[in-house]
Amino acid sequence: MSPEERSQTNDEQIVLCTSAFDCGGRCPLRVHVKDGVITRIEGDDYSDEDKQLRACWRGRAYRHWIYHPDRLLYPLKRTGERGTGQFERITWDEAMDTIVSELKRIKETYGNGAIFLGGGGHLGALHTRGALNKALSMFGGYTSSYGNISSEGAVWAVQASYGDVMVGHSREDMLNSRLIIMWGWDPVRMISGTDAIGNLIKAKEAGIPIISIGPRYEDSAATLAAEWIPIIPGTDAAMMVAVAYVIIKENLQDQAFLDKYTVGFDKFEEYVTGIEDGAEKTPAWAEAISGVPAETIIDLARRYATNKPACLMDCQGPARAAFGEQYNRCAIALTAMTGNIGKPGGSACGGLMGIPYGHMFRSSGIPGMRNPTEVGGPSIRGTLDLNLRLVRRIHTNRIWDGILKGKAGGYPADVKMAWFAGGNILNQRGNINKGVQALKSLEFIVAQDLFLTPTARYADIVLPVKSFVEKNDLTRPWPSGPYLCFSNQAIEPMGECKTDWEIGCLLAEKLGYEDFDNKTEDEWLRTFVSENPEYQRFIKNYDEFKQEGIQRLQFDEPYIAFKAQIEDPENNPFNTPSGKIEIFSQRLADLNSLLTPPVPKYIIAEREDRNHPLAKKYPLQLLSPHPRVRVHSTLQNVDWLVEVDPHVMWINPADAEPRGICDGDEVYVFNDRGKIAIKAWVTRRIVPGVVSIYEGAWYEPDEEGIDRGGCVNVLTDDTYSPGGAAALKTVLVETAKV
Amino acid sequence: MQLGFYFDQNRCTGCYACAIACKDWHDVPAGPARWMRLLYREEGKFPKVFVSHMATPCYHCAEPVCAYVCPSEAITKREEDGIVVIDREKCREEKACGIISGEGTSLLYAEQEAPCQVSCPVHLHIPAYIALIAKGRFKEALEVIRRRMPLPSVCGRVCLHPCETECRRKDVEEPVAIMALKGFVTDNVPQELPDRLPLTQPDCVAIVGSGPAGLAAAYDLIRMGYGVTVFESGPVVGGMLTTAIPEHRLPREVLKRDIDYLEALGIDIRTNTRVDLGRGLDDLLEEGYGALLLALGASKGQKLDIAGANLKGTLDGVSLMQDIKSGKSIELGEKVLVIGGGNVAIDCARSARRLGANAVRVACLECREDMPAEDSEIRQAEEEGIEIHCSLTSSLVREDNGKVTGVECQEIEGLQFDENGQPSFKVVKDTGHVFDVDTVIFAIGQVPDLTGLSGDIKTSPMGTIAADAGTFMTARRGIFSAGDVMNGPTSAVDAIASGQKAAFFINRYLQGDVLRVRPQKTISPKDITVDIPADKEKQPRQVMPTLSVSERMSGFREVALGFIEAEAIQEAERCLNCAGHLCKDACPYSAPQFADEEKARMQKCDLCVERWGDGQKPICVEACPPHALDAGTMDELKMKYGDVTEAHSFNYSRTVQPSIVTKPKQR
Repeated sequence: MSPEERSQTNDEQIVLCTSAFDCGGRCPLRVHVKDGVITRIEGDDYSDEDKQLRACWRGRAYRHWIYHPDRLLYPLKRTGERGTGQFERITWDEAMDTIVSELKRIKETYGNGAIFLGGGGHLGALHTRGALNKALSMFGGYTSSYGNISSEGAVWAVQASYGDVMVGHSREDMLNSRLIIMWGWDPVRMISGTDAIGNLIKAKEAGIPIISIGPRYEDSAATLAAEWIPIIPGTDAAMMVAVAYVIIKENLQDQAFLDKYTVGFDKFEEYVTGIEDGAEKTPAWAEAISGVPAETIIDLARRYATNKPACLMDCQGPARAAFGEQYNRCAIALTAMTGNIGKPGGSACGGLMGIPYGHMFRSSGIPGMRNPTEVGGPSIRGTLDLNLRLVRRIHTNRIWDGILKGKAGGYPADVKMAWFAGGNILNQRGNINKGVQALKSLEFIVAQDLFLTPTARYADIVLPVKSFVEKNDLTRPWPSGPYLCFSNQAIEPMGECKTDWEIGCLLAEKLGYEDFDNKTEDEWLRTFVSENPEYQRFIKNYDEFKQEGIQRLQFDEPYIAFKAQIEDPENNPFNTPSGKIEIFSQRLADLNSLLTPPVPKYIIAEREDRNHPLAKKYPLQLLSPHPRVRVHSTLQNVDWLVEVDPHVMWINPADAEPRGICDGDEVYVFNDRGKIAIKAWVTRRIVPGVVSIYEGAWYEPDEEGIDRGGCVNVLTDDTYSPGGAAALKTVLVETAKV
Repeated sequence: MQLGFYFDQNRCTGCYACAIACKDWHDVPAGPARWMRLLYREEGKFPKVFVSHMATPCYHCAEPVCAYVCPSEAITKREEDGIVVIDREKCREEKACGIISGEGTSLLYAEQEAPCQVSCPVHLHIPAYIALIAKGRFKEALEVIRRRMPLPSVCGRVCLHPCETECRRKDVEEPVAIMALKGFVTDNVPQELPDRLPLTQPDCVAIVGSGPAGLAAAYDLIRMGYGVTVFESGPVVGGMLTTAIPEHRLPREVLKRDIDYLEALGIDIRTNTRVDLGRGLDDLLEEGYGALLLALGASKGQKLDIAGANLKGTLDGVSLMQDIKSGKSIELGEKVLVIGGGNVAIDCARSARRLGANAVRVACLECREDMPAEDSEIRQAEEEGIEIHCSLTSSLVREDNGKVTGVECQEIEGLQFDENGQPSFKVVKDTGHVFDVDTVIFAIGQVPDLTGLSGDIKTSPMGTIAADAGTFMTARRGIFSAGDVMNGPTSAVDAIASGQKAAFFINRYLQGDVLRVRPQKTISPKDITVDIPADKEKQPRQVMPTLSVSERMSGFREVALGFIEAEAIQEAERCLNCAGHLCKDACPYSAPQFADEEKARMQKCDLCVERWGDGQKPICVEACPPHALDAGTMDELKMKYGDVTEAHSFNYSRTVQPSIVTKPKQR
């Protein structure tokens, strides 16, 4: 329906949409629109009720996000000090003219490397920052960051082990398991596929035992798991190595599988049994590190090795830590040792959980252009050497350090301006106070977003962006389908909002790039569907697809990662140098670093944990899991969400009592990097010695620099692991009652 | 037909999609009005944690107590589908429902409480049960009382009823007879013993003492799922209620009614079982009790430290009452002086009369207005010919050959009590005179008997057990204290409230939680401003019918005869309904909701009544990601999921018959 038609009808319409947030699900939404205004949002009404893709509580609250009184509706120009939030409304012309003139000045004065482009934003096909990338590439290029703040540890681990990132099974395949181990995985909260929780509940009701391992008694564990094994954060790899020890000592490994499909198990065995370094990685050894009783480790190892198939689900959270990639590497070693790879009811581990149908990695987009500043750099495709990746880019968790230190500090550029296309980068990277310094040091900043985020508050020009209901786009179920979505425009754009694509095109126009983009939104979307092999295969009629909003893909059986490689290894080698699953990686051996060992290990090295000298001053380990009621920092301050799950710090009574902290007390949480104020939630659902604060709450410093918003990244560090994981969960703090 | 809900606790992830979808569909703004609530419960010590949720919309009860209690008749149950609906136009329009002026309390309408409730130590929902009595819904009224009151019959007779002191009806003419109305329902609703409660907690609690504090703690703890054993050293249950309050005020069978109810719930009360306060406490802990509560009361009578206090013919009031109640033969003289101004003193005096003493006098330090004894008690005593002599101090018991012949007294002025309850005063010169008596009864307060108490449990200078006022825990971990043994002699209702608080902290202790809680904002009844309509018609308080004096003197028959139904209803109708929101208070699930708005009118879940017409189920059901919710006719739901099962530890009512089938979470 055209906008004209939409405005002509007074009857209630139901428009099919999905959000396109950086969220672990993608949910069909039936948006009720009357007189051009959304009145209600309903979820999937698929006839097979059991297979409905029901939106979570976040999706149910979108109406109060879309119509939030704080939505940005017009371009803004900064009028006060950076960070003070003083802005005035300007026209798009003034905004773009200012941006273009600054871009030109910076380029002429410092060169293109001085322009930093970052951000996340909309995860559709068209309305992304792709056009902006292209326009700035045509302009001569820009500096960008390397890495995904979420998943680098897992990505590195699967690249090392499998040479492939599609390591997931269809979620319903868990019903084929005889034992499910959720190791650092909480699908209730971070979703991991809209259909994940439903299938897990079916598994539970089918009598499949489910074990949860993690420092918190997660919602998933509380719902599903008969057993919770609490563990000290950052020690998962040690416990996994000890599980391997028990399996080896009791000769429970699937030796035939190891012989046929893997390389280097013997080297791993040498490490585990202590032949390599003289230290046996016994359950008692792991107990001392992880706090998990040795008998629990032994019991888990036996059950895991003898119940086949068994599904070990590791995730990405525990890998966002010092040496975090070893957690995923160890999990892969365990699933290989038990012969659970490529088989129904098993799992390949690796934490990414993606299946190659509807995966966002296979999304369409407008054709791009190589960023000229990166031309001539080293080849980085598939490399495990992080240093190569950081020759031309700044690590995503080191952006602030890169800006502050520049080339003198070993970074690829001296950045003078930044353009943040969504993403709320200040809030969502480690060490915010360093970020504030970095942003204050820049000559010019542009931010585009739906709200005046903590990042946007530091910008010179702020551009307002449309929400998902104000545009048409193709969306995808992130890592887990199998289905494809079309999100329809439901309402007219709010104020003068534009999409990221429209902003990119507008920039190109202002820069004088004629014929930059001649297609309309509809033409682009039709082109994507007709040219992407996946849409070609599954979408027979574009208009019907658009109308329905979703195409569910029907297969005879669940997708199993590496099924072909296991069933017919001769013709389907793994994408590794050896063609096999690399428990031992020669590529890693060639890096010749103790910190990236060729076999999975629990790395003995100093890190900011309870054994660090700093623990005397800051004795509590801090976790920063994905929030329940936001998608990272998106959906902040949606009143319906805030009231059901206020922002709090989890603390065990054993830690609260001696500090005189009662449930609901206002506390400070602090370390040398900063200080935040938050309310305490005293709960037995967290390991003593650990506190937990959901990431994504908006940074809101007071005059003394204390963050009243409770943003956990004021406390986290801007470091990364040898595999590239942002080490946001390797943090020490202390807390005290206000 | 009755539509209702199904809820599977095993599937619920606690995500709130139901609650938010409900707000979106019905366009309910963020704020206190929550048609669908998800109650959260966390149990067990780390790492054995157990988490459960209960979806709590309106359950569209078969017996909708909200509709029964509503003064505006704004709530109705639909014949065709059993949905309980609210006519918001009628709500709070036709009759006053809530006349507290916001000033002083600064609370939202739904949070405002009537002065009576605020002043009640156990915080009973007084206006709600009074309103139910006014509507003739006695059974429902009793259920509302029982939600917080372990001994409703007792507190319908011997309560100090601070609620009546604060009742604002007194500004029209006289306070509502709240205590007597409570007594009326307990007397007039046939006793139905409850089923034994399941023990859902791994721990058991030992309670030493079966008085009001111990029984109140037992009642709360067993409802939380703990095993409870009450140890009583004497042959009868009830502590001072049994041993010290005379039959003419609290007949034994009335108390038994309450105790039978408690025992039926599964509370194990062991009489004639003295717990040694030293080694015995260790034994109980070693036996496996997770926590102990010392609720021994203060039952040791005292005498004044004056010459002649130990002569033959002097006795202490509590011992006398105990002897009377246990059926010992009592020899009193003809001329009795009771020294003391509290209820025990009056009880002794009235008992002495019934035992044949001709001249009974009471002498006390306080002036008449300040006597701690209840006014009605004093009046009835006077009716029975007892002389009350106030503002006197007794200095000497006179004797002749070892027999009491009189008591010397002087008038006093400037009476004050220090923080330990010790009096100070000035004797008025030349006011001495002698009461000619042959029996002196000291009723000057009681102290706990802590013989043999373990040294690691500290005591106070007043001879009570010293416990942390913020946690009720004694100096020894896991041993708690409550009631008179901790606070000194108080009233039954204060002891009940103290026992309830102890139960609250014992639960936190056994759950491995931080004991202390954030102090809650408290409001004094004096700060509540009630805007009584100027045209409120005067309607005098119902007079409690009593036995004639001659009938009284023939024995220990209960003096108060209780209201008949018409009197009770008429009396209940006098309630001004200061705070309003009776529907919310009467509902066991607090389903009625009020938004933060100018004229807060009730709103609540309507089971998405309009969606059924379109062949859809309620939005919460269709929104629930793990399919934990369903809705349909109760017959269909029971067929599909099995019969109603109680979701223990969450509120549950037998009286209202909620339309819900619950699959409780497996432990």
